[in-house]
Amino acid sequence: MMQQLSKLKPFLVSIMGLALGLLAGSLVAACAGENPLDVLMIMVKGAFGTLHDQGMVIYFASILIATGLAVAIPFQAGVFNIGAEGQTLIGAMACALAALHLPQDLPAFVAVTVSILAAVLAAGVWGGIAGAIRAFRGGHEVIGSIMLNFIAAGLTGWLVVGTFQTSDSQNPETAAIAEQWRLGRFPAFEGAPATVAILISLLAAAIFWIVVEKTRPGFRLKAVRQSPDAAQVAGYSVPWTRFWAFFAGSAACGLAAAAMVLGEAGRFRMEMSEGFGFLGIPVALLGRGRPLGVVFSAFLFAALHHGASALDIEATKVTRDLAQVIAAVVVIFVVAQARFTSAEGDLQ
Amino acid sequence: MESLSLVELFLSALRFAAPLILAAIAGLYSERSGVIQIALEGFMLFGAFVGATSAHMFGHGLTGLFMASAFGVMVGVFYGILVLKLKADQIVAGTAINMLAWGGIPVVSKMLFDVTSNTPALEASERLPHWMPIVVAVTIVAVSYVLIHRTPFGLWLTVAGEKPEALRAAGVSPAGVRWIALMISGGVAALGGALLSISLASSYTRNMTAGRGFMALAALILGKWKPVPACIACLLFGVCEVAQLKLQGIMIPGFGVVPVQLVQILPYAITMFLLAGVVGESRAPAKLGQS
Repeated sequence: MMQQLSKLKPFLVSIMGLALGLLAGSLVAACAGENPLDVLMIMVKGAFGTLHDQGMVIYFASILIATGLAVAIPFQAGVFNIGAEGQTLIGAMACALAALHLPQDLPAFVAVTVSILAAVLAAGVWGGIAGAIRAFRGGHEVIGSIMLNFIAAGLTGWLVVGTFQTSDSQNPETAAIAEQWRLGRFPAFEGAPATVAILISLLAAAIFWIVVEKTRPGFRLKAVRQSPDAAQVAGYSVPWTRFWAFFAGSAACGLAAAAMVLGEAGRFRMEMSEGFGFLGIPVALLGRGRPLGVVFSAFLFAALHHGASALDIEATKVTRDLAQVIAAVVVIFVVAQARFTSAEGDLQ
Repeated sequence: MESLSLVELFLSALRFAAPLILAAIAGLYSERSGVIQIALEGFMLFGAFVGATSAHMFGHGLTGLFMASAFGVMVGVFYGILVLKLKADQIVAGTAINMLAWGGIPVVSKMLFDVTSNTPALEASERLPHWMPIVVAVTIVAVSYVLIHRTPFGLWLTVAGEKPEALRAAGVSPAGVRWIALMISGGVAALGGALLSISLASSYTRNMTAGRGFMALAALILGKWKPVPACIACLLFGVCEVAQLKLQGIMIPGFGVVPVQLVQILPYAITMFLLAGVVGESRAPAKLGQS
């Protein structure tokens, strides 16, 4: 009985955190002079009201599963990646450049695969810089990955404005990628960009689950998190394990980038990551760093994100930023109950 | 083109570096006592917003500074509840405070001023004089130097981060020392944020701290958790910021105009190099993160 209860505890904490977040959001809305129930209804309707809305939620979920994994995978080795924002931007730029510069007579399947791989590799290498500095030089990965966010924004901004700006648009964006090289949209959702990206993201989560639960590298990650000294004695390289966990997490952002570039925008746009990288943090925390948890909470935050965007139009005193407050409260509650980056303890 | 004298360059670098210096000192109190301080960015943002809002409402910049640091102390207490009382993971809890600042401030701003992105522009009379950041920064550094190197509290702070059991044996509570350190940390970092919005700029704008909280941490590591060396590291960033303003739009023969985006990433790129190159030889307080 007690054992069953302790197994349920992480789940209960997440549910409580979510409830508390929604409560805090309602309180804030009430303070702003809105009826909290109306606000909640606007958000629910905004998220699920039409087939198009549901398709948008699926699209956002495909991004958030990836950025959630970007945080959850390094957590397995006890390192914290808050650079998903920049890793997504670099991945998006690589994805768009690959799709724009591949020979036009390539079969679509090959071209799309190569573009996605370019995004994954670029995102992984970019985050890997912060991972390497942490693993081999001891420089804190939180500082490193956030600095890389700013550098990525500047670098991609400069590339798009300076070199790859399209002439048929006033906005800072690249030329459009050929129609047949984009990810297929599910027809059911009235044109919303719900694409096969969701399947790719789910596949990534499944691979993460298999690696962590069933393989030796997965065991190595856990060993390094729980006791770096013991892992070292057992013959595992602590720095390399931390580095590869960081690299793999960052690489997941490439999938988020592909969902945006090949699934929605059809090009690179300046600052297109729009905070989805940071949203990966609450997604991973609410999901307790576990693959299935990340998938569930990604759908939840996708609904929250899309639902809250309706507030900009239909509410007068609160905006979509309300979703950020709810996310922050969820994080604060969950973090008060759990340990993620400490040497001792499990992801419980 | 008129050239800056060295003194002028130094003073304007110091002015720009002042918010960063305060953030680094704020981080120093916390980390010397053994608590990782990732929340500096959030403290600064809260300080910048509360400072500009109070200066606007009460019509005086000094009120803004005072309110900002008072609010910063409160956020510091909140961080203390998370990491000292509830024993939350310090790095993630700090990130949670930052997220609260990123998401919460626009919501409050919308309530107060009906816009999410900035506070109303301050009148010249509501802003602080040009020299104020320099005075505040020099004062805080001097006071901190004396406090940390010349008083019993400074000794407790260091021992709390290195050998808390020794402190306990001497009859001083390490937790108590850490609570005070976190309150000072919140207050001083928020003060830095307020200097940004009330003196260096004339209103709060969204995410105006632009990563300074994290750069301050890098400076702190570079300065080996000591007040004066950390300040000198911050000054380096100040010089960088002045250079940034001077470099924008300048022609370099054979290269053309320096692109604005590239100039802007300069301080972040320097931080990365420092993190990679120097940190290895810098030793953190022994119990950092284990309180």
